[in-house]
Amino acid sequence: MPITLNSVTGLLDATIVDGNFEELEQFLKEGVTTNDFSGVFDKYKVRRYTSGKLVGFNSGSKQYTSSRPTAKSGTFENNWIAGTKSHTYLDQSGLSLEKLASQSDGISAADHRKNSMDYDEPLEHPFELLGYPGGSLFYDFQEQGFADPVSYYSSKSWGSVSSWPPTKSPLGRFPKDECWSRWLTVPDAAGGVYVDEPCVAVITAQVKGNYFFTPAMRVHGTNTGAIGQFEDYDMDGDGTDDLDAFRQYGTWKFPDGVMQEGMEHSAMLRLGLFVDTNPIVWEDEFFNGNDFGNVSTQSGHGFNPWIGTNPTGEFLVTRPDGVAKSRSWKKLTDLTYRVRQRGSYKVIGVVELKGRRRYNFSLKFRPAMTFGHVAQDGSDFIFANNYHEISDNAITKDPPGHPVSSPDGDANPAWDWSWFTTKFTGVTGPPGTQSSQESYFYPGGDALVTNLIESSSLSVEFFYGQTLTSLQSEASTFNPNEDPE
Amino acid sequence: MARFTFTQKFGATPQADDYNSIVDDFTEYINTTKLVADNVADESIRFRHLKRAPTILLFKDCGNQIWSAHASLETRGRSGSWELYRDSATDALNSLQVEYSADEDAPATELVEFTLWYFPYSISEASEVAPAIRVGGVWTPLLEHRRAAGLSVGFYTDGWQAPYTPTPTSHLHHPFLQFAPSGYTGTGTGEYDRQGTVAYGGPVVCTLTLGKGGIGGNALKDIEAYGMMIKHDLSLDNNAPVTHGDGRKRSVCSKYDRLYLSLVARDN
Repeated sequence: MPITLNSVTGLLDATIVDGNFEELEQFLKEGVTTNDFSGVFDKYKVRRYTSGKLVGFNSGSKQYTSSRPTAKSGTFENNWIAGTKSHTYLDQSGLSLEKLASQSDGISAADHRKNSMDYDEPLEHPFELLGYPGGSLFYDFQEQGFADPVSYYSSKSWGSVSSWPPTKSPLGRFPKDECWSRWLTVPDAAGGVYVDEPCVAVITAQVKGNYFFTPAMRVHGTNTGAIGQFEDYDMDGDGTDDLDAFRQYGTWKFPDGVMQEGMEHSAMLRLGLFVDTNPIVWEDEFFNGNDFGNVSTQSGHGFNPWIGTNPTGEFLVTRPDGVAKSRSWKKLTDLTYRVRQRGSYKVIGVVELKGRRRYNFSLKFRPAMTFGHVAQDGSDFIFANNYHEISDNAITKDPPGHPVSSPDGDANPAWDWSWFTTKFTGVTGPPGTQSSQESYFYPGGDALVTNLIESSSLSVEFFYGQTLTSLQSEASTFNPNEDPE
Repeated sequence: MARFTFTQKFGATPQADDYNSIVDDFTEYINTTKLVADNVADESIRFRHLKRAPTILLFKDCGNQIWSAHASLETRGRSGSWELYRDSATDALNSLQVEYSADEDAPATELVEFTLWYFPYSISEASEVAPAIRVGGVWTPLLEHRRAAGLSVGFYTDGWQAPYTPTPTSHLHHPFLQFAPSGYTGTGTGEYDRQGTVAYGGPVVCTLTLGKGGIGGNALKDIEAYGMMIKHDLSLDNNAPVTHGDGRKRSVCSKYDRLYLSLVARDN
């Protein structure tokens, strides 16, 4: 990123100026200043050198406590810019709700308030700056390098896709030269380091925390019954045991002594390992391909059509000038955990680095499942601005070869469960029918309650003189110097 | 490109020219040098004089092999005995392994660390996993390093599978392509279809550290490859009809599993 510095005339205080520049020198090398080593020691970075070469890098934190507003806004530290936080579009716009609503595509202020707990409500989705160049990635398919559904389906001669672009979409709402995404850095599970030479880096990361720290599936309502299935319990203090009701499903009741392992008793935590060179885009480092930095087979030209100086997202055979050739980040691992009430979750990834530059490594998380998909609409198709896995139209509605025999026929159990007030006879639930958001997710919509993360850590080991080919790895070996055009 | 450094500093009598030199250093480094493509060759300066690096890393993300694995992966470990977690009908063609044979004369022969990261999708909490070695073409589980999956397992199969069919031979359609014409096989790679959807337990992490003496009477130089073996506890299978509430069906390996193998050989 270019900078501008001004010259001076006359005498200067040599001691102060030299000191300032030594600080700057150190910062440019390592991205740290002396202030990073003072104060309360609640997180650490350790660099291990052998023969003058960096061979290991560790960061971690002890108990993490974030402020109350983080439930909405997040506190997702991105260590290459101190204090960078995630933002919902409402934060980002700097506008009042009313003003935003008047400018927005189809959302009234009243609806926004009504939907503020809605998991599908894009205005409330927290975003974090992922890297450069822009644009931002709202839907899973964008991150994966798919062209837009209209031109993609057209290129395949499959038919027309309606409702694209959708209303209530945040497309184009973040600065066009920055790439914001729904990946949010796990607090303190990130760090930057100068890497001396070409090498392979093996990254492992861990986050430990409570059940609710994730944008989770299935942690509300009837799920709570799983915590005490072996005995009834008066949950609301009215003198009557309640758990029998929670264990009941239609005329069927969960048996005693059988561990309940259905998905309705689970939450999902989606973790990703990332490496980036923010804020610099090195032309020879990370290829602008699919989410893993490989050639995208779904854009026509191999590049991610949503990233560049003027990306259109269209399916094209050759790369237009507006689509970037390289970018500042690469995802190494993307893995969803089934989480229990409290647990420690680990991921591992590997990447080949060019060296001679500074890299940031981070563990990030985001809502599980797939946001944005194509559904059938008569003989044509429609873009659905919601989660595929719990969509009424999803393929999951009728698992082929595995019809669910009772009590609800062949419907997707994930989807059916949301309407439990009509499915659970004898269950005293909230009046009326719950929305899928209310039933599936922790109340708070897309809020990410990070203050229940207890600790996090990230470790990187550097192996010099090796390439991914020598690792027998299936990871990308794409050479970004060769344009697939 | 070297690390950033100043070409000169102020002396006892600071002058504007000195300061401007420093400013130029910044400008040069930030605006010019760092924006030039780094054409350093794909080799390490540190080790270029050596025949081989003193630390060797073998790393394998087995995701795509598992994804396209032979359907019989589902039967692995269900015989009541330890079985190789393999993607082929025969051990010899298995690709879910890292092959490393220590050379007695090479520097990196003194210490080998092998770690497997197994993210199970549909195995029960009592299923056991062990690192395994291949010597003379025969695989042996290292039972002293075995682990039980424990309570943190992934979503179970059948009606509870989230959200796709568990039929091993069927193709999972990407949500973007789910209504594509029949016969279209989508992207065909696991990295698209599974992310964000299938939820894993674990991981089961086993680390094995061997010296030259090897393990179990097998010297390090005689070990040919490293992999994973598995054994399920069939008594925990639930054979009741599939309903909404019956939970687990069977403890099986599946194409949804993920496995990372890491081997580091160090010359101490």
